[in-house]
Amino acid sequence: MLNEFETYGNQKKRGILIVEDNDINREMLKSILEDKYEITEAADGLIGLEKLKEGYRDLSLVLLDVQMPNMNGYEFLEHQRNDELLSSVPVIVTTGSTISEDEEKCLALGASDFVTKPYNPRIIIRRIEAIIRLSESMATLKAVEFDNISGLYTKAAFIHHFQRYMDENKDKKLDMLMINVEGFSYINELYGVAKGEQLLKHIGNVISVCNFGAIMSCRYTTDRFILMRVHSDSDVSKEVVVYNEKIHENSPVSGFVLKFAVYTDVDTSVSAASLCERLSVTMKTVRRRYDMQLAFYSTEMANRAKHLKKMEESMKDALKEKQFSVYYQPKHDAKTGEIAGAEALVRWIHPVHGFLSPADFIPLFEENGFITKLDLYVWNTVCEDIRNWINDGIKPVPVSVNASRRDILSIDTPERLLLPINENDVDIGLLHIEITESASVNDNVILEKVKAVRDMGIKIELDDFGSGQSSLGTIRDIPTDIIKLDISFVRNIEKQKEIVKMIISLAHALGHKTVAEGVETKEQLEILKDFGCDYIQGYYYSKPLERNEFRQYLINNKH
Amino acid sequence: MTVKDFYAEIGGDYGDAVKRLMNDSLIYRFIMKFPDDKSFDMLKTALQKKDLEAAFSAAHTLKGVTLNLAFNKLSAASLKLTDALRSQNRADYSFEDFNSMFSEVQKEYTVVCSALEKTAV
Repeated sequence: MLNEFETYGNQKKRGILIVEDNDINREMLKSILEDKYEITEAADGLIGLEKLKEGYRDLSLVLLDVQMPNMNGYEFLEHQRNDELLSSVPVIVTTGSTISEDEEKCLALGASDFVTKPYNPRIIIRRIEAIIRLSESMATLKAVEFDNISGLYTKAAFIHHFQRYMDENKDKKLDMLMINVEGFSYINELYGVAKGEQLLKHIGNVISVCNFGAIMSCRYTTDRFILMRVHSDSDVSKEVVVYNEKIHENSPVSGFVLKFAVYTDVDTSVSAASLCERLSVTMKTVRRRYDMQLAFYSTEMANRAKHLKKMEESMKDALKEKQFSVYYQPKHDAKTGEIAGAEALVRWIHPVHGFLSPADFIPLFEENGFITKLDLYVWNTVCEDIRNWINDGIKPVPVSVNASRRDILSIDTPERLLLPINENDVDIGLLHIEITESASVNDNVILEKVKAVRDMGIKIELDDFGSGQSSLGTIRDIPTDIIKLDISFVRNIEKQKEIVKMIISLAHALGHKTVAEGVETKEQLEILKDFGCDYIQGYYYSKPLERNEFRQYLINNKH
Repeated sequence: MTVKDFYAEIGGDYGDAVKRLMNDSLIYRFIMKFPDDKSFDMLKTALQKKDLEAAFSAAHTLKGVTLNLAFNKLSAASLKLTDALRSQNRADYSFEDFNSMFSEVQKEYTVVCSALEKTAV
């Protein structure tokens, strides 16, 4: 082992930074190590941190004393920990103390090991070799400086250098620009991953060559780039047009869409990482907006992000405190007019914001993953409610519950769904799951999972059919029982009768039932009835009802 | 006076020093730097000013250096003072206690410094 390490080391001496305020101790370490290592010295933590920032690329290790003037070892470790690039250099603490709490504190702050005084050269060298070997063997996992696809900085490196730049140029006004390749995953699907990579490489190349006035730039996420530059009052919207053209010129892929987010005169009192985060929030506002290519960061946007953050913080308590309530919107048989089922919907009675409809929080929950907890809560509640109706002698109707893509992907989905059904001893046929076609299209893993759920006896309703990028293939591929027409068909039914008629016939031909939602008028109902639509949901019959109201509705409506 | 004699005179551990610092000339190089080390003076000043935090820091450093140099008697004396000066222990001692522990340190320090003068070539 040692030999391998030593031959490795022959290529070039590795660098070690010794941060120690006492001259004798420092020189002793230096004399122990200088044969094998390139030594950099620092007489206190503050100087040490500067040396690390300057030389982290060539440093394999830091030897750090704890008791030091200006900045002690703990503070050094805390500063280092906040920077991904700096924290990739391992630290061994040289402690004079025999108090193990100090050692514990250092390890907790990210130190890799410690050596105690008096220095024993052989032990010190062995420990250093071990730590360097360990850290180099993990080097592939560590932050790297340049992204090997685009050739630009990686996110970690960009944040590091951007922060340094701000620290060293406190009076400078700065702008940031983010470029996003919209629908990059579709490019990968359509042309293959290799082509997708070529495109990213091309964009990286254009950014390096044309520069776009950037002081530094990075590939921030898979398909997002960030440029940082000196503030200018020029018209960014015009520049963006040029950048857009430049990137499309000679591109290996055509027909992709670029979106831009701009943050001018950034708040340099905020950390580089937060500034990048703000730009991401800005980018969100133009995502999937076909009419917009450019967004500017505004404080209003920041406030909205803050609001979302607060919602996010309050959501966990919300579940505990039962702030979510389940509402039921009845579905009626189109021919007989009798109640034939219901869709379970969730409302959030927020202690501060009051009554919130799904549109206010579902997108957020889908993003942060909380949706799986919430949907499961709804599922459990529905099972309990059905059991209560039966106990009270009320004839139950099938209830459909919405499931997100994430729900379906959860590994133990079928088991989790079965648990409340069995606990409440409910007929599994009374439970339906609504999935959107966009959640399932072109994804074999999802399709497999949906099939497993359906094989258990839970009926599948394909929600929002005909919206977005639907294809007729979807209806064939997704294991489903019921097709729910997208609400837009019902709203504009007069103009697209033929299409609606065709979808209903097609569904029937494939052996599926059909539901129309958002039905508000008698006219809409009659047309749908004519076409043979099976079930009707909407204000024409009833708005979504609170649990107790719906219980009464079941009693009042014969079925 | 040889390096070995020096260690005998100050109550140090020559064997340990040789084991760790390899040879006499290297040991010589380091022990000769000791008179320039500021930790003793800093300790003295801090105690005069009754700045216990600074005193702790200086005593801690002195203890570390003398451990490294295998000046056992001096490092034992500074260890005792360092531990007494730790923030969690301070309340158990009076200022006279600190001063008497410091005079132990000073006594050993003086022994080391005069022995070093005799060792210098």
